[in-house]
Amino acid sequence: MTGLLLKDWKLFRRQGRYYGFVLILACAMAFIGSKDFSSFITSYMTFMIAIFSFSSFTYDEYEDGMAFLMALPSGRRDYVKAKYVFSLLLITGGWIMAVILRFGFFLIRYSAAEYLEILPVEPVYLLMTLLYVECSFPVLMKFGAEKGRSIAFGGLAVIGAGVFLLAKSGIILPVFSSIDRLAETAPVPLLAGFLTVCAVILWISYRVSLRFMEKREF
Amino acid sequence: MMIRIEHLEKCYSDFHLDCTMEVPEGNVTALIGPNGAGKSTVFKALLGLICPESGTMELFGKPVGKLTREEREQIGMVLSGACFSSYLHVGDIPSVLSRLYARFEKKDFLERCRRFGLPMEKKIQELSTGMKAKLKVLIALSHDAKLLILDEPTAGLDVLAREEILDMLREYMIPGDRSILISSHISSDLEGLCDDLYLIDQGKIIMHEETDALLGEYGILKVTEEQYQTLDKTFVMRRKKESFGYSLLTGQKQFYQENTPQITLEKGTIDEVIMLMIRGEAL
Repeated sequence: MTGLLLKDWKLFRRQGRYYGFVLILACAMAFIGSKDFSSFITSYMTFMIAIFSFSSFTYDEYEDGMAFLMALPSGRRDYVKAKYVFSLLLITGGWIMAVILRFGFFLIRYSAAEYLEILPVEPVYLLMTLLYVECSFPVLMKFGAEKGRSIAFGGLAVIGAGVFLLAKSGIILPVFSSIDRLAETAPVPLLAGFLTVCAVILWISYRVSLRFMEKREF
Repeated sequence: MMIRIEHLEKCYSDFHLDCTMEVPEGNVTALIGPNGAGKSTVFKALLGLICPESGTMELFGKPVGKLTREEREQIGMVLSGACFSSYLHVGDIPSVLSRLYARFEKKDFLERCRRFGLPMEKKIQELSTGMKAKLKVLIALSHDAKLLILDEPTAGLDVLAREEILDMLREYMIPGDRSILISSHISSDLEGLCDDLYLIDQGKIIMHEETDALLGEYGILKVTEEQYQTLDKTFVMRRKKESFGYSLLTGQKQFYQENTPQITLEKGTIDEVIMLMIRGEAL
């Protein structure tokens, strides 16, 4: 599996210039905007780095490369495992970088104490991004990079529209209020709950991906 | 036996493969045939890339699906058109391979890359077709595999590079306990390398012959209509109508040399045998 992880890492490193641009853009937007808007650093950077998890499938499939990868001794199971491990490491690493950056931004513009107040919200961006990627992977494994990515982005748009409509109709507000209350009164159990949900979805997603890949022909 | 395939069947909407063949230890075996005959399907099945409907496939005496990782590391492969992502640089490959294959020989690989002029700093997609072909063969040869499965490994190579690759394959076979299954459209490559050949057409093996026998015993008789009528056709395998009469494929060249010396008899090349076996009609 380490060989496949290394392959993805090397491909990611080749995108250094692009991610440098993402970093600059995130910083610029945060400096221009208000204190609340600085959340853009964490959300945008984490999400943009997560997108590479999808792009890595495109790189793999280019010029029938998937057949070659599946014929390697590592096989299909290791391929699926490597994709999940890589995306977890990549997204978590990107999120940590974004959190450090936002903390630095607060030190310059505001204060460390003010950042500590909003720190408990930061894992939400990580977990939401991980959830999105985890839910998208089986689709990518089944339909391939191009079609799968379109379906995944389409799904994101539908979820976004759904949340927007629910928020506008006021139905979802009590849910958010309850989460807010829980975050204040019992942040640890709330985070543990989120993590458990993420872990269960991750496991289901992995098993489904594995099943799709084992049945796929190249 | 390195490879044993028995009635491997795979159906697509307009194609049905039914293949039986073997590759013994120490042999270089070629699978030849026209485009779309089923060669790549056989290679893909052996590498576990497609699921056959029925039949058995064994590598190293074990069913393909039951091979351990260590056994899979004993297979070197070239897939027609496929390799690592084209966005990787040539220089990225050694470190990836060293983690994929326990017996990867980094020093040898780098030395061969240098000898073949493969630039480490270039992306794979920036390489010429010939360079990519060389890289694929070098990857297959880099980890001390016992079996090479090579689908069109010399495609796109110039004569000199082809000869260098073929030399490396001959050198690879020296220990005697290794085997190669190869497909190629370049018959001269096969003539100088292979011990035996399987000819596949429309998903079926239509001929299996040792290369020496094919080159030494097969011949093409060029006969007029009148000569054809009186000819003893016992050893004629295929006939094809020509403007002058018929081209006839025989696997007993000597018989006709001795009994009908007046008839034009040409040495059978692999290309001609393929052509007559596929385009010609059986008697």
